[in-house]
Amino acid sequence: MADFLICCRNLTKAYGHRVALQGVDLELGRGRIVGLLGPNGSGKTTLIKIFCGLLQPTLGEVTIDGQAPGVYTKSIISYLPDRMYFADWMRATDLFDLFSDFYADFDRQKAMDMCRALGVNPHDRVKTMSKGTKEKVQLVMVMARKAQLYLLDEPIAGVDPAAREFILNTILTNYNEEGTVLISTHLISDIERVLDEVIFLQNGRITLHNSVDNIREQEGKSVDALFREMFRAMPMEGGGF
Amino acid sequence: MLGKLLKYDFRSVSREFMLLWPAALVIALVMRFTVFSGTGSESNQLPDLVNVLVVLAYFAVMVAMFVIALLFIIQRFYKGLLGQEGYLMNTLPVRPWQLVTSKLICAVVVTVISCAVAFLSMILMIPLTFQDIFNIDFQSLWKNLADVFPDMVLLLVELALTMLTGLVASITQLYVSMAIGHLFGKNRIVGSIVAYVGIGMALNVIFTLGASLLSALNIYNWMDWNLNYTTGVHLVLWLLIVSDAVLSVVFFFGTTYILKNKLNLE
Amino acid sequence: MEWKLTDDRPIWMQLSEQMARRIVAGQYPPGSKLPAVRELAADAGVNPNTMQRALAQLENDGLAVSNRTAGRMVTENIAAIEAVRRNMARQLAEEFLSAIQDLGYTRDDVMALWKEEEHHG
Repeated sequence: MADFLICCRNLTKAYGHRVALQGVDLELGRGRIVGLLGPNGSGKTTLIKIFCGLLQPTLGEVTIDGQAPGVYTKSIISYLPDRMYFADWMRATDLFDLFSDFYADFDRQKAMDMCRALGVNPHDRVKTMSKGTKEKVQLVMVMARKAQLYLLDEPIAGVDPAAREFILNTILTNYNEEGTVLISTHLISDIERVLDEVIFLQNGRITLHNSVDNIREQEGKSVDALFREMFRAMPMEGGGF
Repeated sequence: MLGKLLKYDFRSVSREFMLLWPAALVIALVMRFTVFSGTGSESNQLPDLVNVLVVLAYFAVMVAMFVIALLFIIQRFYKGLLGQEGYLMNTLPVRPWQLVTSKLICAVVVTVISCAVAFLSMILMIPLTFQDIFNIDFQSLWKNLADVFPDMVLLLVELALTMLTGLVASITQLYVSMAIGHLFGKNRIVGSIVAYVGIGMALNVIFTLGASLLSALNIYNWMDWNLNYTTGVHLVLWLLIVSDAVLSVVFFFGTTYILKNKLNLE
Repeated sequence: MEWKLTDDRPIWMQLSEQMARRIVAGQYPPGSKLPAVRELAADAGVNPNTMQRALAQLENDGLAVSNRTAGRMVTENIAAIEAVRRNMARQLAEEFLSAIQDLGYTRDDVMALWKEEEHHG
């Protein structure tokens, strides 16, 4: 086991002329719930996609549990993308079969239980499900694994407050002690209390990386309040996208 | 892991073709009993218009089958690995070559079965009775063929290999073009088409150059072979097999290289 | 008792205080076993590590003890609980007195007010 679960050195990603990440250095430990916070276009999704191997960095390097993104890191990462990623003729149970086949740490029974708790019928075709239900299925698939690293890209944007509460509870009760959860979001107030530490990302750079308690102690205000201040004081350059 | 991937890829094959293939055969059978039934014109009671429609339907289904097969091959790769589904497939703990191989095997199988269905449907159309089929003297048929082509078996194997390598080369050319195209950020489709056409033109140039080089070197005279008809056929077939195999390997590893080192799902 | 978390201070401090309040109020009696960290964390909707830190603070304050086999228990040292309770009460009284003195009441006025309230209540 490597000391740090995630290690980034000078991680840089450019899309043509637009720089999405700029020299990111980061070390993340195990057993933490970490918020990746930043306005839209600050590079959150790019960073997460590099971790799970969907994007290749332009410069710099990243290791997950000591290894460059590859078959091993994919086997220990559970990734919730910012979009639907399955063919909609499948049923949720088909997807569970697929995950059982490919991920040794997928707990099918747990997935079925979580579906029941969420009021999702796993035998329905994905096509007939509402957007919210599809997102729940995807969350179930991701959280029913006993992964070392959970990468959740905007899991709470666009869902109703009840679902949001459920998602946070699912994360809190289902992640394992060895596992680190990295949640990207721009809605901080809802998740602040579940976080150990936060990373502020702005224009592709890390501007702050500290524990929630330290921030509250030092600043005397919530991370949410600090975030609003920081990002009001410095409007985004170039308007992002 | 490849087996598991195949399991899921073949599910999409069966979804797409489980109706189409039998439909083609059924229409062929319908034609056998309508359009082509009986040699005497009296036995054909259907008006000409219906016959025309049935024939049209058959050709429509045949064309549709191959168009759908081609689209299927392209879409399963483009959408399945470079589109939304790519988020799922490319985060599975499998190697890129396994992903590509699984798609490739599916594509080959779809093409081969489609061709087989087309062939079978034509046979079905011929109004043969079982009696007729049993009466065909396969032995003497084979013997006559073997007289003309003494190495019939070898030739058939070579032909099959030629078609297979040609098929694999064509499919992997599509794959590598899409893989190159996806590097073009927002203009992926245009990039893919440009890559495909570009590769095609490059191959053309290479083959033309190769051919003129061969004739310039006057290689046929050097070899002083007694090039009878069959050796010539063998030689040509093997040239095709080897060149297509080489192309397939280059395209395949080009594709997996890009998926492994350059993947950019934006 | 509901968890109340405000924005201005570290969450673990607030959790620790509220756990202490539950202990002195007898919701978790002396010598009883405390719920698991995970359970408490889920109930409060907070990170288990944060709850862990809050409980560690309870141990520092002498309100809880860790037992290798049985987990974390409320202390059996009633004097210790009583001391914390006394402290809390004193703090409340101080806050009350300072607030009411700001309104211009003297201590005697307060006593009179107290009796009056008791009558009404």
